[in-house]
Amino acid sequence: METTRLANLEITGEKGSFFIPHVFFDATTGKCLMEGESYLENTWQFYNQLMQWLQAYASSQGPISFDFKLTYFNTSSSKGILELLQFLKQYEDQGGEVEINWYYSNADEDMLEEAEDFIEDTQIKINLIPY
Amino acid sequence: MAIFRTVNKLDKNVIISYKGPITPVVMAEISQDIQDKLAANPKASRKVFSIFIELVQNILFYSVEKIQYAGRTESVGMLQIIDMDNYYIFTCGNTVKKTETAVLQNSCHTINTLDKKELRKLKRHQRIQPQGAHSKGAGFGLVQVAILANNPLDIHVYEIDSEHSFYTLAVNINK
Repeated sequence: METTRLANLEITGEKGSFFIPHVFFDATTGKCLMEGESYLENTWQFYNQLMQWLQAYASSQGPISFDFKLTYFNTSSSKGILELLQFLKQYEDQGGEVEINWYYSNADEDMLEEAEDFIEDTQIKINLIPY
Repeated sequence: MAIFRTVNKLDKNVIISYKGPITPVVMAEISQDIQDKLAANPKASRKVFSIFIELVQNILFYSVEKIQYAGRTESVGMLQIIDMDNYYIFTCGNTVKKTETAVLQNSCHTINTLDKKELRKLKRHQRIQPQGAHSKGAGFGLVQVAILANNPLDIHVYEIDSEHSFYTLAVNINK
Protein backbone atom coordinates (compact mmCIF):
# COMPACT_ATOMS: atom_id res chain seq x y z
CA MET A 1 0.00 0.00 0.00
CA GLU A 2 1.27 3.40 -0.88
CA THR A 3 0.53 6.59 0.92
CA THR A 4 1.38 9.93 -0.56
CA ARG A 5 3.60 11.87 1.77
CA LEU A 6 2.99 15.58 2.03
CA ALA A 7 5.90 17.45 0.44
CA ASN A 8 7.59 20.51 1.92
CA LEU A 9 6.24 23.79 0.59
CA GLU A 10 8.88 26.23 -0.50
CA ILE A 11 8.25 29.52 -2.28
CA THR A 12 11.21 31.67 -3.22
CA GLY A 13 10.87 35.27 -2.10
CA GLU A 14 10.91 37.88 -4.81
CA LYS A 15 11.05 41.64 -4.84
CA GLY A 16 10.08 43.16 -8.16
CA SER A 17 6.90 44.85 -9.25
CA PHE A 18 5.21 42.68 -6.64
CA PHE A 19 6.68 41.33 -3.40
CA ILE A 20 6.51 37.60 -2.77
CA PRO A 21 7.44 36.48 0.74
CA HIS A 22 9.81 33.58 1.23
CA VAL A 23 7.90 30.57 2.47
CA PHE A 24 9.21 27.30 3.84
CA PHE A 25 6.77 24.82 5.36
CA ASP A 26 8.47 21.65 6.59
CA ALA A 27 6.24 18.59 6.24
CA THR A 28 8.38 16.50 8.61
CA THR A 29 8.71 18.86 11.57
CA GLY A 30 5.70 21.18 11.09
CA LYS A 31 8.00 24.19 11.22
CA CYS A 32 6.55 26.92 9.04
CA LEU A 33 8.31 30.11 8.08
CA MET A 34 7.07 33.16 6.24
CA GLU A 35 9.44 36.06 5.84
CA GLY A 36 9.95 39.21 3.81
CA GLU A 37 7.28 41.30 2.18
CA SER A 38 3.83 40.42 0.92
CA TYR A 39 2.24 42.42 -1.85
CA LEU A 40 0.99 40.07 -4.53
CA GLU A 41 -0.62 40.08 -7.90
CA ASN A 42 -3.04 37.35 -6.88
CA THR A 43 -3.24 37.43 -3.10
CA TRP A 44 -6.09 34.97 -2.75
CA GLN A 45 -4.34 32.31 -4.83
CA PHE A 46 -1.10 32.69 -2.86
CA TYR A 47 -2.65 32.41 0.60
CA ASN A 48 -4.97 29.66 -0.54
CA GLN A 49 -2.02 27.41 -1.39
CA LEU A 50 -0.54 28.03 2.08
CA MET A 51 -3.91 27.21 3.62
CA GLN A 52 -4.24 24.00 1.61
CA TRP A 53 -0.81 22.86 2.74
CA LEU A 54 -1.67 23.56 6.40
CA GLN A 55 -4.94 21.67 6.08
CA ALA A 56 -3.17 18.68 4.52
CA TYR A 57 -0.48 18.76 7.20
CA ALA A 58 -3.04 19.10 9.99
CA SER A 59 -4.71 15.85 8.93
CA SER A 60 -1.56 14.10 10.27
CA GLN A 61 -2.19 15.84 13.62
CA GLY A 62 1.44 16.88 13.92
CA PRO A 63 2.66 19.94 15.81
CA ILE A 64 2.90 23.30 14.03
CA SER A 65 5.43 25.97 14.89
CA PHE A 66 4.86 29.04 12.75
CA ASP A 67 7.41 31.86 12.46
CA PHE A 68 6.21 35.12 10.94
CA LYS A 69 9.16 37.33 9.99
CA LEU A 70 7.36 39.77 7.73
CA THR A 71 8.53 43.34 7.35
CA TYR A 72 5.65 44.49 5.17
CA PHE A 73 2.26 43.28 3.96
CA ASN A 74 -0.61 45.11 2.32
CA THR A 75 -4.23 44.97 3.49
CA SER A 76 -5.17 42.18 1.06
CA SER A 77 -2.33 40.04 2.41
CA SER A 78 -3.41 40.84 5.95
CA LYS A 79 -6.76 39.22 5.18
CA GLY A 80 -4.88 36.11 4.01
CA ILE A 81 -2.74 36.05 7.16
CA LEU A 82 -5.85 36.39 9.33
CA GLU A 83 -7.34 33.33 7.65
CA LEU A 84 -4.17 31.31 8.31
CA LEU A 85 -4.28 32.31 11.98
CA GLN A 86 -7.97 31.48 12.22
CA PHE A 87 -7.17 28.03 10.90
CA LEU A 88 -4.30 27.59 13.38
CA LYS A 89 -6.61 28.60 16.23
CA GLN A 90 -9.21 26.09 15.09
CA TYR A 91 -6.52 23.39 14.87
CA GLU A 92 -5.37 24.22 18.38
CA ASP A 93 -8.92 24.16 19.72
CA GLN A 94 -9.29 20.68 18.27
CA GLY A 95 -6.24 19.48 20.19
CA GLY A 96 -3.43 20.36 17.75
CA GLU A 97 -0.14 21.63 19.12
CA VAL A 98 0.47 25.14 17.82
CA GLU A 99 3.15 27.70 18.52
CA ILE A 100 3.28 31.06 16.76
CA ASN A 101 6.20 33.48 16.82
CA TRP A 102 5.88 37.00 15.42
CA TYR A 103 9.21 38.74 14.83
CA TYR A 104 9.15 42.51 14.43
CA SER A 105 11.70 45.29 14.30
CA ASN A 106 11.99 47.32 17.49
CA ALA A 107 11.68 50.42 15.36
CA ASP A 108 8.48 49.27 13.70
CA GLU A 109 5.56 49.85 16.03
CA ASP A 110 3.04 49.29 13.21
CA MET A 111 4.19 45.68 12.81
CA LEU A 112 3.74 45.08 16.55
CA GLU A 113 0.23 46.55 16.40
CA GLU A 114 -0.62 44.29 13.47
CA ALA A 115 0.20 41.29 15.65
CA GLU A 116 -1.81 42.69 18.57
CA ASP A 117 -4.81 43.08 16.26
CA PHE A 118 -4.44 39.50 15.01
CA ILE A 119 -4.38 38.28 18.62
CA GLU A 120 -7.50 40.29 19.40
CA ASP A 121 -9.25 38.90 16.32
CA THR A 122 -8.37 35.23 16.71
CA GLN A 123 -7.71 34.92 20.47
CA ILE A 124 -4.71 32.80 19.59
CA LYS A 125 -1.48 33.11 21.57
CA ILE A 126 1.28 34.77 19.57
CA ASN A 127 4.78 35.21 20.98
CA LEU A 128 5.86 38.76 20.16
CA ILE A 129 9.60 38.83 19.56
CA PRO A 130 11.35 42.17 18.94
CA TYR A 131 14.72 42.27 17.22
CA MET B 1 -8.53 74.58 -8.38
CA ALA B 2 -5.69 73.49 -6.17
CA ILE B 3 -5.42 69.85 -7.07
CA PHE B 4 -1.67 69.91 -6.68
CA ARG B 5 -0.35 71.71 -3.65
CA THR B 6 1.23 74.96 -4.68
CA VAL B 7 4.80 74.81 -3.62
CA ASN B 8 6.36 77.59 -5.73
CA LYS B 9 9.83 78.17 -4.42
CA LEU B 10 9.55 74.97 -2.43
CA ASP B 11 9.70 73.04 -5.70
CA LYS B 12 12.86 71.35 -4.56
CA ASN B 13 10.70 69.66 -1.93
CA VAL B 14 8.65 67.79 -4.49
CA ILE B 15 10.02 64.28 -4.24
CA ILE B 16 7.66 62.62 -6.66
CA SER B 17 5.09 64.06 -9.02
CA TYR B 18 3.51 61.70 -11.49
CA LYS B 19 0.42 61.64 -13.64
CA GLY B 20 -0.08 58.79 -16.04
CA PRO B 21 -0.71 55.09 -16.34
CA ILE B 22 -0.01 53.17 -13.13
CA THR B 23 1.85 50.18 -14.50
CA PRO B 24 3.73 47.60 -12.40
CA VAL B 25 6.99 49.11 -13.67
CA VAL B 26 5.96 52.65 -12.68
CA MET B 27 4.99 51.35 -9.24
CA ALA B 28 8.34 49.61 -8.81
CA GLU B 29 10.16 52.82 -9.82
CA ILE B 30 8.18 54.96 -7.39
CA SER B 31 8.69 52.38 -4.60
CA GLN B 32 12.41 52.62 -5.20
CA ASP B 33 12.27 56.44 -5.20
CA ILE B 34 10.45 56.41 -1.87
CA GLN B 35 13.08 54.10 -0.41
CA ASP B 36 15.97 56.19 -1.74
CA LYS B 37 14.67 59.69 -1.11
CA LEU B 38 13.16 59.08 2.32
CA ALA B 39 16.08 56.99 3.57
CA ALA B 40 16.92 59.56 6.25
CA ASN B 41 13.57 58.83 7.93
CA PRO B 42 13.14 55.05 7.90
CA LYS B 43 9.99 55.04 10.01
CA ALA B 44 8.21 57.64 7.85
CA SER B 45 9.58 55.95 4.74
CA ARG B 46 7.93 52.64 5.68
CA LYS B 47 4.63 54.42 6.34
CA VAL B 48 4.75 56.40 3.09
CA PHE B 49 5.51 53.22 1.19
CA SER B 50 2.57 51.32 2.78
CA ILE B 51 0.23 54.26 2.14
CA PHE B 52 1.44 54.47 -1.45
CA ILE B 53 0.63 50.78 -2.05
CA GLU B 54 -2.85 51.03 -0.52
CA LEU B 55 -3.83 54.20 -2.35
CA VAL B 56 -2.39 53.10 -5.68
CA GLN B 57 -4.65 50.06 -5.46
CA ASN B 58 -7.61 52.44 -5.25
CA ILE B 59 -6.41 54.06 -8.47
CA LEU B 60 -6.06 50.66 -10.15
CA PHE B 61 -9.51 49.56 -9.04
CA TYR B 62 -11.57 52.72 -9.32
CA SER B 63 -10.01 55.06 -11.88
CA VAL B 64 -12.35 55.36 -14.83
CA GLU B 65 -9.58 56.84 -16.91
CA LYS B 66 -7.96 53.96 -18.79
CA ILE B 67 -5.44 53.92 -21.56
CA GLN B 68 -4.06 51.20 -23.77
CA TYR B 69 -0.38 50.92 -23.09
CA ALA B 70 1.93 48.24 -24.47
CA GLY B 71 -1.02 45.99 -25.15
CA ARG B 72 -2.46 46.31 -21.67
CA THR B 73 -5.28 48.40 -20.27
CA GLU B 74 -3.84 50.62 -17.56
CA SER B 75 -5.50 52.90 -15.00
CA VAL B 76 -4.47 56.54 -15.00
CA GLY B 77 -3.93 58.45 -11.80
CA MET B 78 -1.72 61.04 -10.16
CA LEU B 79 0.69 60.76 -7.27
CA GLN B 80 2.68 63.38 -5.46
CA ILE B 81 4.98 63.35 -2.45
CA ILE B 82 6.22 66.60 -0.94
CA ASP B 83 8.91 66.84 1.70
CA MET B 84 7.98 69.45 4.32
CA ASP B 85 10.12 70.28 7.33
CA ASN B 86 8.48 67.94 9.80
CA TYR B 87 6.30 65.77 7.61
CA TYR B 88 5.66 64.44 4.13
CA ILE B 89 2.48 65.17 2.19
CA PHE B 90 1.27 62.24 0.11
CA THR B 91 -1.40 63.08 -2.45
CA CYS B 92 -3.06 60.86 -4.99
CA GLY B 93 -5.96 61.41 -7.32
CA ASN B 94 -7.92 59.96 -10.17
CA THR B 95 -11.14 60.28 -12.12
CA VAL B 96 -14.04 58.35 -10.65
CA LYS B 97 -17.69 57.84 -11.42
CA LYS B 98 -19.61 60.61 -9.74
CA THR B 99 -21.78 58.01 -8.05
CA GLU B 100 -18.76 56.74 -6.10
CA THR B 101 -17.66 60.04 -4.62
CA ALA B 102 -20.25 60.11 -1.83
CA VAL B 103 -19.04 56.74 -0.50
CA LEU B 104 -15.44 57.95 -0.56
CA GLN B 105 -16.27 61.23 1.16
CA ASN B 106 -18.37 59.50 3.80
CA SER B 107 -15.61 56.97 4.48
CA CYS B 108 -13.04 59.72 4.93
CA HIS B 109 -15.40 61.73 7.12
CA THR B 110 -16.10 58.73 9.37
CA ILE B 111 -12.42 57.85 9.58
CA ASN B 112 -11.52 61.41 10.56
CA THR B 113 -13.87 61.32 13.56
CA LEU B 114 -12.15 58.23 15.03
CA ASP B 115 -9.06 58.00 17.20
CA LYS B 116 -6.40 55.35 16.61
CA LYS B 117 -7.94 52.80 18.95
CA GLU B 118 -11.31 53.15 17.22
CA LEU B 119 -9.64 52.95 13.80
CA ARG B 120 -7.96 49.68 14.74
CA LYS B 121 -11.32 48.35 15.89
CA LEU B 122 -12.94 49.43 12.61
CA LYS B 123 -10.13 47.80 10.66
CA ARG B 124 -10.59 44.52 12.50
CA HIS B 125 -14.33 44.71 11.93
CA GLN B 126 -13.91 45.31 8.19
CA ARG B 127 -11.15 42.74 7.78
CA ILE B 128 -13.18 39.92 9.23
CA GLN B 129 -16.08 40.50 6.81
CA PRO B 130 -16.31 38.12 3.87
CA GLN B 131 -14.98 39.69 0.68
CA GLY B 132 -17.84 41.80 -0.77
CA ALA B 133 -18.87 41.09 -4.35
CA HIS B 134 -18.28 44.75 -5.18
CA SER B 135 -15.00 45.06 -3.31
CA LYS B 136 -11.87 44.43 -5.31
CA GLY B 137 -9.40 44.77 -2.47
CA ALA B 138 -9.50 43.91 1.20
CA GLY B 139 -11.95 46.78 1.81
CA PHE B 140 -10.09 48.63 4.54
CA GLY B 141 -7.30 50.41 2.68
CA LEU B 142 -8.41 53.90 3.72
CA VAL B 143 -8.64 52.89 7.39
CA GLN B 144 -5.16 51.42 7.18
CA VAL B 145 -3.87 54.68 5.65
CA ALA B 146 -5.35 56.67 8.53
CA ILE B 147 -3.86 54.28 11.12
CA LEU B 148 -0.39 54.50 9.56
CA ALA B 149 -0.44 58.27 9.05
CA ASN B 150 -2.12 59.08 12.36
CA ASN B 151 -3.41 62.22 10.62
CA PRO B 152 -6.74 63.12 8.99
CA LEU B 153 -7.53 62.21 5.38
CA ASP B 154 -8.00 65.34 3.30
CA ILE B 155 -10.35 64.55 0.43
CA HIS B 156 -11.43 66.91 -2.32
CA VAL B 157 -13.83 66.22 -5.15
CA TYR B 158 -13.89 68.25 -8.36
CA GLU B 159 -16.77 67.85 -10.76
CA ILE B 160 -15.71 67.12 -14.33
CA ASP B 161 -19.05 66.50 -16.03
CA SER B 162 -22.44 65.03 -15.24
CA GLU B 163 -20.99 61.54 -14.81
CA HIS B 164 -17.41 61.99 -13.64
CA SER B 165 -15.46 63.66 -10.89
CA PHE B 166 -11.80 63.95 -10.07
CA TYR B 167 -10.94 63.31 -6.45
CA THR B 168 -7.75 63.86 -4.56
CA LEU B 169 -6.78 62.42 -1.23
CA ALA B 170 -3.94 63.97 0.75
CA VAL B 171 -2.47 62.83 4.03
CA ASN B 172 0.44 64.03 6.12
CA ILE B 173 3.00 61.59 7.47
CA ASN B 174 5.06 62.93 10.35
CA LYS B 175 8.82 62.47 10.26
